[in-house]
Amino acid sequence: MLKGAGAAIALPTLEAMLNSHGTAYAQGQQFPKRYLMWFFGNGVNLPRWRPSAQGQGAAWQLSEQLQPLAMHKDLLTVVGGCNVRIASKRGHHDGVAAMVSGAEIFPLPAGNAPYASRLTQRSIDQDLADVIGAQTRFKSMQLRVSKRIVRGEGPTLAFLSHASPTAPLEATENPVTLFNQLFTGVMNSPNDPRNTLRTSVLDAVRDEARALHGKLGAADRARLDQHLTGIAELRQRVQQLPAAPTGACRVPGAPTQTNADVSGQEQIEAVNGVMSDLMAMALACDLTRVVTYQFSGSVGFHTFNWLGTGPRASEHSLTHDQNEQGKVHDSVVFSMRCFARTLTAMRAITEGPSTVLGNSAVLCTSDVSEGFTHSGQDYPILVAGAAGGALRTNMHYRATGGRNTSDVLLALLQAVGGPTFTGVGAGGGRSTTPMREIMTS
Amino acid sequence: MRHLLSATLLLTACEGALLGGAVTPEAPAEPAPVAPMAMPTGGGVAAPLEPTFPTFAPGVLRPRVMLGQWYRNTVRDVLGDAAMNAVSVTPDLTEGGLVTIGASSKSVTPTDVTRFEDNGFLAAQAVLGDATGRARVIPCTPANATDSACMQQVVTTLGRRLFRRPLSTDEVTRWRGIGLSAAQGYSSFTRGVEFVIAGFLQSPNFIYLDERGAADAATGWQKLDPYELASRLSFFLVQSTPDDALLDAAATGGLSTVEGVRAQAERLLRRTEARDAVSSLFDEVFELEGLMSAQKSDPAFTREVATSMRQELRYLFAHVALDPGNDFRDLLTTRMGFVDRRIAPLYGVPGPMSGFQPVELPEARAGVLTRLGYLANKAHDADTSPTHRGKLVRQRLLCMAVAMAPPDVVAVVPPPDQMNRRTFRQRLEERTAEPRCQGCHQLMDPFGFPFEGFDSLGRPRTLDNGLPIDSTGAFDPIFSRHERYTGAKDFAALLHDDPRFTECMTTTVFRQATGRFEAESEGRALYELHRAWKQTGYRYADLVVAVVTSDAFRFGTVE
Repeated sequence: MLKGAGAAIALPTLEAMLNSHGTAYAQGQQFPKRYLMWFFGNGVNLPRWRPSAQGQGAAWQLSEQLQPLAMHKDLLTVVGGCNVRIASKRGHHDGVAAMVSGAEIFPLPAGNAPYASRLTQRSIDQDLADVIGAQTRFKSMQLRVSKRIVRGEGPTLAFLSHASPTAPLEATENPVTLFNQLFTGVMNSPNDPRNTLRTSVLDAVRDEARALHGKLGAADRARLDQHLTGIAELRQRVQQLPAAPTGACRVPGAPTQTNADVSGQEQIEAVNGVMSDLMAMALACDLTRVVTYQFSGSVGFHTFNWLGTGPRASEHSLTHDQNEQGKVHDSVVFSMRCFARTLTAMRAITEGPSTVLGNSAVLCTSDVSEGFTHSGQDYPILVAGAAGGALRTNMHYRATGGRNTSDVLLALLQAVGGPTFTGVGAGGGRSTTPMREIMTS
Repeated sequence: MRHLLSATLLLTACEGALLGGAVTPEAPAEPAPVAPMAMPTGGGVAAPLEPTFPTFAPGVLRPRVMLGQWYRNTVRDVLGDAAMNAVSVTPDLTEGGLVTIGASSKSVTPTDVTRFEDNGFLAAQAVLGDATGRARVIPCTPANATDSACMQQVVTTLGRRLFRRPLSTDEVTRWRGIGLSAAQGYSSFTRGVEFVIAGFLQSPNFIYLDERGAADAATGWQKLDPYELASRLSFFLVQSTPDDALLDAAATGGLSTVEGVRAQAERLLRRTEARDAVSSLFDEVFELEGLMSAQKSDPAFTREVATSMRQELRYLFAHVALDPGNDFRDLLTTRMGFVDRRIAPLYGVPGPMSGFQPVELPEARAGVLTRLGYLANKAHDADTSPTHRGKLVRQRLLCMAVAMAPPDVVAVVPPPDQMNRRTFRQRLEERTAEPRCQGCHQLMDPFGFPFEGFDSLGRPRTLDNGLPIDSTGAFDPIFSRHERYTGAKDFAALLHDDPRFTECMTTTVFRQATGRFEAESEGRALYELHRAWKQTGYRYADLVVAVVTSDAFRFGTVE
């Protein structure tokens, strides 16, 4: 746990980490709202996922597959009865596209793969980042735990964040790298010329990129535009003045976990723990307010070999085997245990009367309802955190009439980003009707 | 530009059509410049007509983002192993089955920009961390921390290797200035060099291979300049930045003639890195990355075994392509194998105590399609997969497209039913009997049935689900090839003599060399490359040299 790690080494207060508007978050002041998408691949077993009763508080109880979330039930809402409404029908692709963008997929030349696609709109975390992330050091962050993701079927399956339909954002999967990005280079003494020199280098790189840009045709200029945007964002981060610490922001101890396989096996639970702690502290330090967290990839190429006895097939293979649904169930429970660990890390950091989790909206979902059927019906959706009071919690709500999953996305966009978000998605996935039932107003 | 997976299919289909006098479906609206003519062939076979092609023009030149492997190798070659080990790369984008093509459409994202910066400083600190490294990148002894002349030497020598050309005066001034500012800020010449290296590794001049050439009056196309040609050759053949000899050749006119290009290509092909480059290309063609995530319930299949299976094929590719005297088609027929102690038992041959050793494999093994790496990769957990095995042959070895399964199809073969015993092949044939399945499955499954004599790990077998296996079939009936085969060896012999295979390999090598799909207007160039390759006996090196000396490789057009 971060708190323990933090206490173990005498930590400097993180003077470098000011929030960038220059306002320190003292007691009683407004804390920022954050958005986290926590994604797990290949769905659930709906009969063992759905809670039996609807309602709020004591009126509903966690289902079998949601048991690991017991300690966070008070900050959890289970949303049922929604359907993926985009017109594209391609198992896994349509589900993840609907949950990150609310819009259709676009088929790509598949080469040797069975199918490939990209999105047709950028992902909503990027829309939100424009509004709430513009001033933080990292406009948004992309994290990944399991490395067994499908890369051969285009960006839709491989990534959660897409700056544009053709510019997916690669995720950081090594906690040591993440730590270095977040917490090194910000503790320089004022006399260290490093950041000034980094800026000069970036200016030289920018000038050379502009020179190249001028020589290219339109399609390639768009590629260079992406590159120039990246340079400008990095330059801004380098230049940003250090800010005052909040009460809870500390530089955590440097991790040693690199997310390397051990004997060919992923160290999922350990990586998830370290990654969750680092992410929670990044939120507490206001280094970012928008995160996508790919716990496991769409389709489910990961293998949870440590569950049960004997070698297991990949999650994907298991879900297609009628006789292996028990193992699928165990996997969903395991994923929820890891999700609970992420929530615990966010909840462990106090912010005034609340916590980082209390000030966040967390969407936890998958790329299909059930891997066995590839269905987009009755989608598994969890919402955790209260978004600073904008979301209702401790609730099981079942929508009727196959309600659009995008209604949930719009509710979360408004809860975190405010009324500037009037709609989300496109085509069949378009929504202008936020799910008020999970909001407080 | 046309996606040539389908174009090759059309080309193949039209060989038959041409005999009936039809024009190729690819023919442009304007009249084709070359009339069909008879082509001499040996053996008294009726001479096929030469197809018609649109007027030749080279394809569009687009900047390519350096691939992960190229990046690492370049850092290794210029800055050393410690620097290479300090940098991290992310997976490349695959397009049309090749990362070299994906590199032409990849964008550098903000995440990449951050990584490039991190890598730049990490690599610089690694090489400058010891005296050997410092001597490697600092060719002079600085008189003091801000020795401008020495900094200039660092900038010009490192810049030439990393930008793959001499730096312009402005560039030298810019980077020397950054080096001197840092040297002054830290009162350390070495820290100055650190910022130069870190900057070079972030520069678009390093990150992108921009081979735009200059307008060429004689042809009306863009002609790659000698340094661009050097980069193209070097990354294609040895997956790294040009070495000094190649840059020297570019500087002295050594790449201005076809003979000069040929000589450099032949030199590069003799470097050991050329073997890695060939292995990597065919590793992609055979989709061997899939082995690393393949799941088998058989405990004999471990990740270590999977790695060895993959390594065997990488040795095989380099052997067939680059060892003297080999005909590339031997890939499909050779019994030469490479085994270590992990996979030797699966082949039933003695294995070495350590490492890999070449062996002659048992009689049943003929070529790459009878090797563990292919057979296990293209199989289910416990069952074989004629569909996956056949699809690889159709798509990757014949360059023909197979449409994707309709989205509503549950593409699962029913499990065995002990009341009604069937082999996997029988269950597959029953499951896919409907016409809407056959449209695609007839393109794939007959190319996979020959391998039913090998189980899901690639071991020989005679029974499946207790019933005798059936590895017979007709070669490619929907393309009027009705020859019967029994088992893998028969099938491999048919494929060995099928011109579609060597045409597809020509196309694949061309794409790898240029980092793009061939343009419609390059149909003639590919046709001639294939014909020349045939005439020289299908030596891989001859194909490579023919590609790199072709106009399609040395010229381009721009948007």
